[in-house]
Amino acid sequence: MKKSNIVLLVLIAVVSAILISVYVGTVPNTTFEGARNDAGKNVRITGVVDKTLPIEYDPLADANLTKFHVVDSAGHSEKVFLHYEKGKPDGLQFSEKVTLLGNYNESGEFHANDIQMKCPSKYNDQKHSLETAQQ
Amino acid sequence: MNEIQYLNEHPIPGMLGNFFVVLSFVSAIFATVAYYLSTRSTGIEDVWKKPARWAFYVHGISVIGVVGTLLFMLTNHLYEYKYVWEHLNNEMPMQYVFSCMWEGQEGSFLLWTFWHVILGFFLIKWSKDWEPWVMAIVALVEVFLASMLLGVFFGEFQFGSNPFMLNREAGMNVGLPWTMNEDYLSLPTFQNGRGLNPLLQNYWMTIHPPTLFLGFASTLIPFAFAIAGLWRGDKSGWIKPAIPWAFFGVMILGTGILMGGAWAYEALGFGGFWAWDPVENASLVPWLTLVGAAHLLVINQRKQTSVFSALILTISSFILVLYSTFLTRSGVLGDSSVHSFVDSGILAQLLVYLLFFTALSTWLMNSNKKWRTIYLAVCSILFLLGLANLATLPDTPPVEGALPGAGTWIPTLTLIFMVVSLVTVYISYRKEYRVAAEQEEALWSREFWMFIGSLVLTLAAIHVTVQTSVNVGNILLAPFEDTFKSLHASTDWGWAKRLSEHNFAAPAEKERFDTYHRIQIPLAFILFLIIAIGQFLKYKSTDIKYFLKKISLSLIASFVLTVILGFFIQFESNSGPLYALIFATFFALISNADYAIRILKGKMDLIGASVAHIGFALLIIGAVISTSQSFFISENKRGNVTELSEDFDNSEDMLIYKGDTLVMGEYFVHFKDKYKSGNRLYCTIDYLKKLPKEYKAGQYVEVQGSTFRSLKDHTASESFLRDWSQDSLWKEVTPAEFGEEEAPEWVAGVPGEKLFTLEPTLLFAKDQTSREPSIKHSLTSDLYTYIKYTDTEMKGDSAGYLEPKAGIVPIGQPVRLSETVTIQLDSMVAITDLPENLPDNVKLKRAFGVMTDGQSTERIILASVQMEDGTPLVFPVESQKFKMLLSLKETKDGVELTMQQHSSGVKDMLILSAEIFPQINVLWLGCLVMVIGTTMAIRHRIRLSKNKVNA
Repeated sequence: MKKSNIVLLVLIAVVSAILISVYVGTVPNTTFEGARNDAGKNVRITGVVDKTLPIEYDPLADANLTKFHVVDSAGHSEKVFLHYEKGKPDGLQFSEKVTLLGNYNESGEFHANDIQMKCPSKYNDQKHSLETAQQ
Repeated sequence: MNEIQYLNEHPIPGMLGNFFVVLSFVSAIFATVAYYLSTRSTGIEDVWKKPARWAFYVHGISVIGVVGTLLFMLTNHLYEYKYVWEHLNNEMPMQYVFSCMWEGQEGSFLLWTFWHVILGFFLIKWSKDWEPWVMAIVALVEVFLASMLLGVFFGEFQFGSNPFMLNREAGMNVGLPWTMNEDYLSLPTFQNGRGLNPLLQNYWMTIHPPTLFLGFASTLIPFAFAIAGLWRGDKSGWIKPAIPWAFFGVMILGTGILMGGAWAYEALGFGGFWAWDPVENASLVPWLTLVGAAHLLVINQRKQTSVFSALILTISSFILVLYSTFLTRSGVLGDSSVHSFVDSGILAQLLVYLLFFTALSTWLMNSNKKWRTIYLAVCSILFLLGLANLATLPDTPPVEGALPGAGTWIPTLTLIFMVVSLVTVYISYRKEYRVAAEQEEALWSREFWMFIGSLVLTLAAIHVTVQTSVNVGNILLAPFEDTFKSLHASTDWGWAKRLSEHNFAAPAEKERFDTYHRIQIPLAFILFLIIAIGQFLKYKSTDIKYFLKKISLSLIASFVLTVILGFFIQFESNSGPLYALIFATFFALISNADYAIRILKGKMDLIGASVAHIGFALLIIGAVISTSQSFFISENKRGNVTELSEDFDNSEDMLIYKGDTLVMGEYFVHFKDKYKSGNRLYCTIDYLKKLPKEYKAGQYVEVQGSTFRSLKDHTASESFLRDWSQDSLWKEVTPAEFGEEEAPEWVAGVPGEKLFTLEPTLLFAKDQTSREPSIKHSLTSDLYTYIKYTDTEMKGDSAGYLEPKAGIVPIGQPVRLSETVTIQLDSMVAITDLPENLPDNVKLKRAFGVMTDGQSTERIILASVQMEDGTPLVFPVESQKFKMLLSLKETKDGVELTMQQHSSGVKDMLILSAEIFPQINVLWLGCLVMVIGTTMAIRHRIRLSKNKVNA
């Protein structure tokens, strides 16, 4: 067998392994209900921070814990316990959309250990300021 | 309708800028056409070369003109222009004017174009007989880039985005009332701009983008040479002139990426230098392929056995730069990156740009005329289908949360295009590039292992690309939703269901390390083994005995070194792969050093490659050790923080009050000051030397409520537990033995002289706060500190009192009012003899209270007043000593005490995070060595080619 063929076969094998690893490694997107059915399993939930309810953060008690409510894509609201090593995520109260990574524990609380926020884009923001600040 | 004559506008710079924009576009087209005609005039007199050059000079000058005009507008604060208004404000120091220029999307395209122009000028001078072909490609790329600044409309489709647009002309503002005001520039809004995001106001923003974009721009040159080679039908002649450019790109792009890492580490407070963020990945991937390409070019300069892979990697590096731009600028990444530039609305244009150059390269890879015609026809049909589909789309508003391209044929067409292109490339490989078995490299030859090394780099690039492009995968899977659904229905395969849902998510912050390292660490391990053995292998073939003899020294040395290191540092149980990687990097480091000294005898001309490899190995050693061995020294010694919440491990943070001095690691830290300056909040923290604490025999101390007596004279160690149980220096005593008074608390040391001061800061941007770390650099490790939490402002009322706190208090027992102060109330006594300032019909009760903070006390008289109908009247009483406002109210549940603290009485609190990154300087040293090595190698290559020409 030619060396180039062997190399090609190994190459195809590794590329397939990479693709499978990416496929296996991706955490499913779901809703709070879906996560509750898979209690203990890490899931990803995208939703909106409920700004009518307070964002609780008491740095003296636990500088890494932020508690707030999130409404998921199915409209279900849930209290989230976010354990985040950077403390309270900057701009949480301004966020448009958040993505949480976490799971339900035995007592039925949703604990997240990672968050990704989408904040209002600069362009929209600027549009507002020009519309209102004038006249 | 009458034209409005606007007052105080400066139309001249805008007109000039627009003129330059249009001129740069037109001259780029002209240069492309002229250089194309010049390529066709071989044999006859080349009448087109001169006009082509002039056209490119005009293009270059107009791009510089665009830059100059934009700078003029920025330095003169012409806020009528949208770009100036969006990126500049009056308060900003002028040193950031360059940062403002490339903060926006238009500015960064301009920067990219600018570097292409500069590199183009050098190419005209240096590319000799390759000039027409290479410059035609450069000019063609410039046509596309210049079009990104045009900002003209074709129907509803906006072609490019123009930095010289006036605010009142911007689509979103047209029709607003103020645009009808002839004197709108005197409105308050236009007196100041929105300004550069404060997060970007530092010197990194001045040096990082130009370096990175020069790196991106330099991938164009090897690409242009490769395309020129295919175009001329000279599959190997392009390689030699392209080599120095490829390594130049490796060096600059590498520097740009590492500067980004340094920025993240020093200023952005990401807590590290690399986070596998999509924007970081987008610049890493072209670098990986470019490094692979550059090495393949070196092999093929001697023997053309892997021209195909050299072509593929050289072309990919440039295509991947386009792809990264597409990923980070078009919004297809969705939410997976914190700092990608979403919503820029240039998706279509960037996609066409990307697909065009992919198609051009694929088309040229195949020299068969028939295949070329078929491929061209298929691409044209796909393109026209796409256009027709977009033109006939019903005018419906976009669905919230829909994937880009959903509901159009674009994802399907793109997928078909990719498949067709892949097939075409494969066919051309079979027909034109396959190497016969007897021509293949020998197993023990340098070129074979360099080739394998390049493949490993390619695999790393593929993995990062796929992992970063998960959302693109979703977009491409969307058209097959129903196919996978029915497949799932008939077979019940779980993966078919997941594919049909096409909602794969890119890994978020913390998981990224696991997801990427799972593949990248093994690949890096193999890569470093190849780097280690590569230089000891000879071109063509190596005597295996000679090779083993030479390499064995490095192999043994690195093995011993790894074992020794194992005694000093502890890896976590699951980090076997990291330990293996450390071994491989040591192996690469030592063998390259050995080769440079023993074989090359340290000749400066020749050792460039070895030095660069040593630098790369050092970089990875530094990265692995500093991240895997980092630890927090800001453990909380106060105790009460963890008590408040059981499920929280507070060991990473330290709570400290202003004025306090606490032990932290090998230091005492003193929270000296907290102050605001501009949009920053600083916490000044002095680091003091920890001096040993001497205890004499018979001394008493208290530890967690128990009292101990020292048995002999000694110096306290780090831990009381050790002194007590292991060394038997203390004996617990009963309270009866010791008496009533309190013994001082045991301490590990006493604060000595000040060593240094760190000032971590909070930076307030428009609606976000950013933590800027403060780092103490030393030779062997960095102390990295940042503010985890501190009160950013005290919201007191006009008299300075804070939010009231109320609660029912027991009588006769001490009640905690604040961190330090307690109060004890005695019982309420009804007063019949009412003071004169109260009406007759109220009930008055009094209570005596004793307030104390453990050191001093204050007696205070509180009153509860009730009207006849039971309505309470509140009479707050001020405590002078403890700066509090107190009042009482009788309720049916008992006595309610309301307390308001005065802001001056509240101690400033800080939660500090401090982490040690050991040996991070090895990483930065590695960067430097790598750049020096690459420069040496480039210099050697350029000399080599000059000598050949002269000879």
